Amino acid sequence: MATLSIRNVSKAFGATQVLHRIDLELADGEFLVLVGPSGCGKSTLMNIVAGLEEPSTGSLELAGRDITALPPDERDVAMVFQSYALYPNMTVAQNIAFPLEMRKVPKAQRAEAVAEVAKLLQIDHLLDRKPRQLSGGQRQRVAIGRALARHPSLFLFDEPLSNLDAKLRVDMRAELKKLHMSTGVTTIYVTHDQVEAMTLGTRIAVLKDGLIQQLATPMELYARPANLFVASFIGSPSINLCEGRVDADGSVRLAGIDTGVRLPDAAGRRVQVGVRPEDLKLEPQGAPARVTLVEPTGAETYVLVQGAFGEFTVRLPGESTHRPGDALALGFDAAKVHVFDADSGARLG
Amino acid sequence: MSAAATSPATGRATGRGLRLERVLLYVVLGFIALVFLAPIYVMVVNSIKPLDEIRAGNLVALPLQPTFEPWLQAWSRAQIGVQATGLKPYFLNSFLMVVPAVVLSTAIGAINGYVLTQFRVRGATLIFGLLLFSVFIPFQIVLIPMARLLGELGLAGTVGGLVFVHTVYGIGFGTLFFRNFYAAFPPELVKSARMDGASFFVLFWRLMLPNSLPIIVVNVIWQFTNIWNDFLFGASFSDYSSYPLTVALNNLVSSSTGVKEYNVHFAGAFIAALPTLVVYVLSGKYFVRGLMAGSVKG
Repeated sequence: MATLSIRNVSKAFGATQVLHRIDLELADGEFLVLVGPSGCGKSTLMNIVAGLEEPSTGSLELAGRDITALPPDERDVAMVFQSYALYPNMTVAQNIAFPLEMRKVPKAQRAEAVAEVAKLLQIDHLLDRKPRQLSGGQRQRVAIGRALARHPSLFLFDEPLSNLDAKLRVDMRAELKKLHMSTGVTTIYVTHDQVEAMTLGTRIAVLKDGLIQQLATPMELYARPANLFVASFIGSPSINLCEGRVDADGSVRLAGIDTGVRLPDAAGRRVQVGVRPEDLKLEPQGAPARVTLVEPTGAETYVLVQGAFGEFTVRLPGESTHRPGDALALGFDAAKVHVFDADSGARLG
Repeated sequence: MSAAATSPATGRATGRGLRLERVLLYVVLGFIALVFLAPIYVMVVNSIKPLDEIRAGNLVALPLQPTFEPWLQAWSRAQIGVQATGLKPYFLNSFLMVVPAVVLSTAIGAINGYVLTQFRVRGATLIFGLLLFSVFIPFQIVLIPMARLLGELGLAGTVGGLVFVHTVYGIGFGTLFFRNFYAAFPPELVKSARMDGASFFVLFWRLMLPNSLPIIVVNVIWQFTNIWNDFLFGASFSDYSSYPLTVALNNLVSSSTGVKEYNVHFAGAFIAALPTLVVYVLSGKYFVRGLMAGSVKG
């Protein structure tokens, strides 16, 4: 259990700047998710925390100890890899005991630790098997067990669920969350899956091009995205975006309809207006549109509509009676309309 | 064999086309096998014939009076050097030469491959390039410098000297094999082991080597065959007491005095070829697998 400070960390490979002066503070027991598209630098940042790569500038502090120059095994950090990285020549029990063996933990204590995590992760019956005899989900558990057995101060997860099939991924996600709740170990979790990020993280850092775009709790990120990138990256189906204009009096208009938002400081500017699919209402006096596609998912229905604003997705609860070709009108709730600068992408209101 | 038992790729063909194809295939394979087996047949058959039968002229005929006398002769009684010792002591020399040389060159090759792929070594590409170059250096070029070096080291004319020469020559190929194998080794495994606290040698000994069986087999077969069959180094750097089997066999066959005992020569040649045959038969399937492992595995 520990706090982690990442201070001013940059990383460049030759002329390519992968990370730009990253500052992050993790509280004790926090579950921080690093999320972003591939190539955003999230894995590099994770490797730097693990000690597998050196930062070009900056420092790292874990539990009050400067770990910037320490080799990976002296950092008290355990990592679970995307490919699980189980040692193919060792049994499950030997895999879990390996980090303890390297730390010269006596044999009896090792066996105890193995038995303990095996019970916790329900892999006791697999202890004598080799990794190749296990299914993907079982391998994942063993990899987590190996990290857990060491009782590290910090857990690192590098896209641990992306090799699992969809159903197993959802199950393991819930188990990881429960595990974190029961152990309370400070955790950094890297993923490119925004659903994983939203469901697991106590806070989420959205990365793009080596810069943190926004660092916030999942709901804050969803309700008040700091810029256009975060708004479009988080949320499924993704946010509806449309070119808009701010009138001289500061009212934000979208396809001629007043959204109700007032931004007097941004008068005359070109903006991007974003509305999440569930924040659109059907209102007789709203913006006219025509239904192009209806996608029922069971609990809710996504209705794709075409209007002067372009194509929007509307999320309606339950079953929908709409059919392609139907006419309807959309209304906006001023509190739930996001306005971004069209050039910089920064949030205006 | 029925069509259902064949691979899906050929399984689509019609029954008749398939049968014809198969027959042709087996005829060709059978012929090639015959071409390869014919010399072995000739050697075995003639090595168990009395000399009179060979002199009668038919090399392909089966022996009328089979005898193992030529084998015993070649093994322990034939005149090789000054004494009539047979091939036995030279067979031992070859083993004393080939076993340490194979073990050492494999070990050094494995460590080289490990360091060149898993650590950032300054000039790694250049070092590897030079090691690779050593594979292409013809044996003849190093004869004189090597003779001088062995003299300086006090290893001239000894089995130890031959071990040294073959180990040095084996490093190039060993490094090539292991480097290519380890270049395809999953990097996350190495990262994980480093985070778990494995040191340089622990990582090599506990993780890399146990997962290198295919390439170890390839290297062992390759080095064993080359070193066992080497004649040039054996003839150049050894003397009566340290001749390897190949040189002794040559002495046996080309001795100019007395009657040419062909049956003994056949038996001697077969004895000399036997160990490499055994190595191939025992590990052949790993050899093919290992040669492809580096290129196919991701």
